[in-house]
Amino acid sequence: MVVCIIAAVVFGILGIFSAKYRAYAREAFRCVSRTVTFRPCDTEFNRKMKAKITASLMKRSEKLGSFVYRRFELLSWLFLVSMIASLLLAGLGGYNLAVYGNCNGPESTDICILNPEGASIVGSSAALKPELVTEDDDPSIGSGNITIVEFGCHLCPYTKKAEPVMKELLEKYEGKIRLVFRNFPVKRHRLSTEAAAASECAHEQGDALYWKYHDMMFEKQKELDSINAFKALAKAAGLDAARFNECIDSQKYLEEVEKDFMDGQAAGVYGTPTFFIGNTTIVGPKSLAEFEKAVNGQMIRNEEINACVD
Amino acid sequence: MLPSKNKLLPLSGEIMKLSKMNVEKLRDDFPILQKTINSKPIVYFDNACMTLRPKQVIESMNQYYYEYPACAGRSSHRLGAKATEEYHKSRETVAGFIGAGPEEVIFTKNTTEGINLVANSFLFGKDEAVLTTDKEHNSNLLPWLLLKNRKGLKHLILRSNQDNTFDLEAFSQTVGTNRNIRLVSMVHTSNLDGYTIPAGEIAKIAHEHEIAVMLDCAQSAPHRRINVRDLGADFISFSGHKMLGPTGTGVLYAREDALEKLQPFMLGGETVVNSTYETYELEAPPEMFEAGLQNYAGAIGLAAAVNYLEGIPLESVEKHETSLNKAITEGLQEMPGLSVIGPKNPELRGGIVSFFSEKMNHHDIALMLDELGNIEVRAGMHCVHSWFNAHKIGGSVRASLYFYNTQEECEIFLGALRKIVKLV
Repeated sequence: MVVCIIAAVVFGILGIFSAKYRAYAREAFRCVSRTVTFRPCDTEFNRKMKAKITASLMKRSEKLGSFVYRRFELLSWLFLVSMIASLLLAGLGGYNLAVYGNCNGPESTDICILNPEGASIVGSSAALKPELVTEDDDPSIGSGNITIVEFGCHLCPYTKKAEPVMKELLEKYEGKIRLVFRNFPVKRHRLSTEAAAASECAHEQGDALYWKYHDMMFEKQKELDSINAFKALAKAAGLDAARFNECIDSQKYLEEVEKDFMDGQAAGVYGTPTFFIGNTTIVGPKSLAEFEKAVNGQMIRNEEINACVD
Repeated sequence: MLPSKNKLLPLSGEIMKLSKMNVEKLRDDFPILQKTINSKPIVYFDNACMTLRPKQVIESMNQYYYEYPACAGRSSHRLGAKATEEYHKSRETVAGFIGAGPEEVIFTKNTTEGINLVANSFLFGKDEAVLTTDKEHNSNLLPWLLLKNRKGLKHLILRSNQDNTFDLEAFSQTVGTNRNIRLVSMVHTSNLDGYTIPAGEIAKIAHEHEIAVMLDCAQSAPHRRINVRDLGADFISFSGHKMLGPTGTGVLYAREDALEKLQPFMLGGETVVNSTYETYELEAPPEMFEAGLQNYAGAIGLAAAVNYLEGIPLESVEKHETSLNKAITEGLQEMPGLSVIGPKNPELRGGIVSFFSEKMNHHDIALMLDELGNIEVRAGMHCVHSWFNAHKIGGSVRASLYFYNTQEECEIFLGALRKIVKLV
């Protein structure tokens, strides 16, 4: 029975691509359907599979064949459990791919077999709407024709993970790209809204101090567990502590933070970090190569647009 | 083209011994033996179920379909006349093969049909009985059980000896003391273990008590010389497809005087000379037992198979199979946990080796033999469920041999089996 279930799934899938597996799939389905209706399996399918597998192993190693033959039922159960787990994970991956454009989930950096280049999706993520993205008056760094708008959270480990890549990208494409950082506080990180507000307070004291504070927030991310921690960090970053403390205590930037968040939601942002490079969107901390690909693509598009204008 | 009858006839009237060279030459006639699966030859050891066919048989059937595919015994046009002529010739050939007259040969579709024909045509009286052995194929058990349930026929079973051999003394005693037995219907050579009952003595004893004898010769006619006059049986039934013939062909022999004990139970086309709305006039045997259009191509193919067998001949087939059986039996004895069904002496088991393992399922063994070496054997109860159930054995693996099998094939079989039994 166990073998029949496994075979029905495996040969059912293989049968889509090759007719030679369809007969096996039919036998396996018959075996399963008879068993679940409390009738004996009349195809001897499980025996056939056992014999085929054992004989095939015996040709390589008789000991291995013997091992499998003796424990065939147990191994079948193990295989069945792992197959069900795999199917569930595959289903989840499919869901992630459809909804987030990344089969590993919105915040994963791992390779997705269905999208091997990562989550660098051009217009295929239904959730994201690059055309609605604005820069607002949020802090930016670098200069150039290409603007990257990042929605990030200072307390999010994935946003932190993307930071070195961004630095490298800015360095490599100096004079060509500009990075705008917009707040998208992720609620499951306690004090994420306060952290965003703190960064706005830093921005109040100038771009240079902001980016210093921004970098230090990621460096000390794990230690930022209270308002006092934000204040202490501001002092360490060389900000005017009194002004910063007053700013943060007054909660004057909560509205600004909320606006950033609402803008992000309107553009379909569902996780951090999310990058908009023209029409290209990247979700999660991806490799430099992927960012380069997106930037280069955007450069080509810009050139084409200019050529049309000329 | 039909094979020349004298193609392989021995010189000086001596029995030709099947040498390696002869077997190799004969194997060339079997297209399937020239094929390979996964670059390995096919080892066909399921001859008790169905033998392979030489190209001569296939060609003879093609000849019918290509050149005269018409009704026999009915149509007078030239194609019909040719079909009638070939069909009659086929009957004569088959009759000659078993030493019978053509009018004593009824074409059937298999052994089972022949036995059922007798079971349903034999004029049993009230409280009369049929005697069988305890290891009958379902084809010689179920027809009697059906009659027992429907018409109250008594069914008696003669137990075999411990080693599955025939208990002639018990038989003599049974038929001597039970006056109700009208028919003894027994398997001549068992498909279970290859053992052949002493049919001549059985017939002699039965006839002394005016009891008719029917033999299921499905496993004997293909492997040993059968002469119905010497055998003394009133009826014998055998299949064409177990003796190189086409599938769905069989023969019921009924001795001329025994035919009088039969009343046809199935009538139709060709079974009557004439009919009105109220009456009919039956044809003479054997036509009166062959209702409807017959398998003419099959009968012609069966005759071609008989011609082929006559050219070997059968006496040497029996010796060859016994030598192969000896080799396999000796090999099996070296493997622990295997038990052979039937007499220990392979000479008493013809070309059949039926065995089971205490530790492994018979189907597993058969499937793995196929997987490992393209070795085709049968596994299960071989339609002798009653014997297996009575002996509480789940089934067996059966290797059944024929003249085209070789010692090399036996070695391949034993080599694969050695590996398989080591699994547990």
